[in-house]
Amino acid sequence: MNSGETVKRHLEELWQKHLPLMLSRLDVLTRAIDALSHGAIHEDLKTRATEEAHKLAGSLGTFGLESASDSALRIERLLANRSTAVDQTAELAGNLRIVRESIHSR
Amino acid sequence: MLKHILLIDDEDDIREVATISLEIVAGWRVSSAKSGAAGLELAKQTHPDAILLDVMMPKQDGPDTLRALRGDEATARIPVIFLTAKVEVSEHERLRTIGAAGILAKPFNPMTLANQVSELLGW
Repeated sequence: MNSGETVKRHLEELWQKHLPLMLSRLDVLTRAIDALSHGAIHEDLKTRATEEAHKLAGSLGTFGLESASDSALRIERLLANRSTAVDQTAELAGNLRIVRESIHSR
Repeated sequence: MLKHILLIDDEDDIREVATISLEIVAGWRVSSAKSGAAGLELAKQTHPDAILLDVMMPKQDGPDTLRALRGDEATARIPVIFLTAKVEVSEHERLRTIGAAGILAKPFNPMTLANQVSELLGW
């Protein structure tokens, strides 16, 4: 087995190991964007969701999910904007869908 | 010569992927720490050839950790490469001004990470 195959095998093991963490981060984003769509998000949840989006942006691409990583970064930027408005929830939801589908289909 | 890398990142998945990448692809020895404070201690004890340092960490972030490394004679000259998911040019310029040997983006490609480190450090 060459080094590329060995790295891929280890990446698969690490993905399975950390999948619950990815899903918990996804859950925070889902709750935050759902709250935003209802026009009532607590600042603590928004801050936490911004942090979790940042972490997903940094890690998903490392596991080969580049478009999901880009979407997580987009979510992070939208949430970090203090004036994130209800009219941005469609864009947030679209990016969230990409992240969710990428994680579940990997 | 076998290189020794110290990896400081609070996220377990990133630490573990980077460790596998550098050990298997490059054959380097990798130590890791999950906080700036723990990384500082490990750097003093083990004198790594280079440090990969996450920017955003709770309590002591990457820039603060770099300043502490530079302020200690035992670690002052160890090259430090930042790992960051921030892509803004202004952020990268800020990190360079505080003494980073280079900046690598997260997410990184596990197959090419070692090459990127080698290129930045002239290895």
